[in-house]
Amino acid sequence: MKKILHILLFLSNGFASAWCQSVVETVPSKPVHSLSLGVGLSHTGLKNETVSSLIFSSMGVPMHFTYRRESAVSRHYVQLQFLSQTLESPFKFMMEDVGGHLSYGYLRRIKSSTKMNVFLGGECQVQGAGRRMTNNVNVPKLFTLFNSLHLAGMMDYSIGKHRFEGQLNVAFLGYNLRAGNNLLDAFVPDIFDALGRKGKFETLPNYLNMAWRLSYIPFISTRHIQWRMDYWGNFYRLNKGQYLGSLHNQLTTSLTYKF
Amino acid sequence: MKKSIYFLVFWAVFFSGCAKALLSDTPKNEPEAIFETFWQQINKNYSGKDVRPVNWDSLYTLYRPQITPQTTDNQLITTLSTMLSHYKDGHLGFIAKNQFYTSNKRNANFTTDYLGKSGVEKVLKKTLKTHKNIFSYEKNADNIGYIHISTFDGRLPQVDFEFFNTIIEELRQTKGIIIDIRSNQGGDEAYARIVAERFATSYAVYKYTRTKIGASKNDYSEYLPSDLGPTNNWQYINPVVVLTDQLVFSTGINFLMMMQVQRNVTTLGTTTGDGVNGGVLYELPNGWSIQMPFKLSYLPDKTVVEGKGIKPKIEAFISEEQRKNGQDAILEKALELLK
Repeated sequence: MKKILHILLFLSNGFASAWCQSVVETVPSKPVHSLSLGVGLSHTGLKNETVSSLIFSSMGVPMHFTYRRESAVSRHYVQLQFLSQTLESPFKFMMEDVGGHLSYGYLRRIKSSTKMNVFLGGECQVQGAGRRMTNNVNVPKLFTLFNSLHLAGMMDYSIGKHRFEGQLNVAFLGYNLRAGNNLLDAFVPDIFDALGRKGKFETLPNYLNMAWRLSYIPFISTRHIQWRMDYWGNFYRLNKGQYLGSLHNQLTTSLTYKF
Repeated sequence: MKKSIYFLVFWAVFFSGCAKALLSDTPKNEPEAIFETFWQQINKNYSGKDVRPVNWDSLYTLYRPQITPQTTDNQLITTLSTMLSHYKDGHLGFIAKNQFYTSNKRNANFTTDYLGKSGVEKVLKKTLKTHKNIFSYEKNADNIGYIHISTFDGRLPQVDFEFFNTIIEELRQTKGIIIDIRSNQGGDEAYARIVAERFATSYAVYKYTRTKIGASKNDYSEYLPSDLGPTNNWQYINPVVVLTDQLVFSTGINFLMMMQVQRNVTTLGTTTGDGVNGGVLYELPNGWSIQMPFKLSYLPDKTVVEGKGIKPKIEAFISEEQRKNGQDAILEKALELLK
């Protein structure tokens, strides 16, 4: 399975970089590395027809840790996002939700001007969530684990010394694990073994997973430290079996160390 | 700079407001939509539907025309309750206006063969000791132990069930034990294990479980085995008789499954209730909720238990006359077996 995923990721990135190299001349430049630690506010709307016909929602405090490598012609990043919150339905069904993303992205520049650069590439993402219905009989548990390959497009735009970035990712293939139509049960310790094997390859239109980002990176005259503000949104849905959909929006502010 | 921040905040707020539009249609809080959601969820997720002899489609045809936009809450409750009553499953029901409407009023339909502590004391000719209304126990003059387990209620602390280790220590030298679970309607399977493990001499699969993962009758996960092995320093290896009746239900049945795979255990009484797996709640558009099981349990030979119950190895009954006289004929039979 891993091999297939690696091959697909390699192909998606390889295709983008091959195409980019035919369009753009490589500009030698020293890459900038950065580590960011961010925290913010988020809003999540989640509909899981396994447990409810209604939409659960909540405000949360997301955190992320991001490594970036930026050169004139490419962008690499590895990002870990984490969020723990309690979602609530309009009639007070409660759902504890702990989840996160681990993503790796690589983009190559395909177009540039004095103020703007456009990048194209791919992202590989693991997105997991564990959920517990705290005021439901037998406190049922749910889980989702999406392993997705995304196509990614990004643009950066400079106004004076300030910089804006916008990015859009759309998954074209996912290997997804979820508890089928139904729920986990705490009393059976090896249920992950049985249901875990039911992972499925899914793609559009049954599986839609997209993320978008707008970032503002102000100019600060220090050499190593910077801050940035990101708005990040993620929408996913699975239509097969019981509908599962989530819309997540977050604003984070991050402190960045550049080297 | 401020403008840039406002710009990002604007998009965050704007997209957060799109949840209703982007996520799939939410049924309206109206009688017809509630009925439809109710019917569909049972149809898709209720495991008992695949093993109990009820035609859910025909119930839809029968009851759907009764629901109109003018249907009141009470009328809707009556209709939904009537529909569910066809399944006669104590784990199936719905909660409306803070009241639980079960599919099966088991206590009204069934009679327990457990004639109470006094009935047992009459046969054993001993006064029973008790622990927190969970265990009643003693040994008789023939050195045969007796333990009644009234519940495995998960709301009670574990330490109350661990007291079983003290009881079994006390009855260690008996030549046999009667474990009476008549009228035990279940609770937490982990508590049932605390007791059953003291009788397990080796690891054995006592049941298989499958989880419903799709709407079709055959959409189930693989068979998941549950096994039980010995704990503590010693195991009780002398003959054991487990007494059952039709009020044994849920984790009570799970306990019976744990016990009946042990070599030294015989089961005696009447066929148990027919519901093993507890349910979870599904929220309807008006905040009411359906409780429905989503698993099926099987004996080690993969015979389904849900909808059938478990027949003891030796069937024994209490006649009406014996019942009137307070004569526990099933317990008497168990004592005979262990003499």
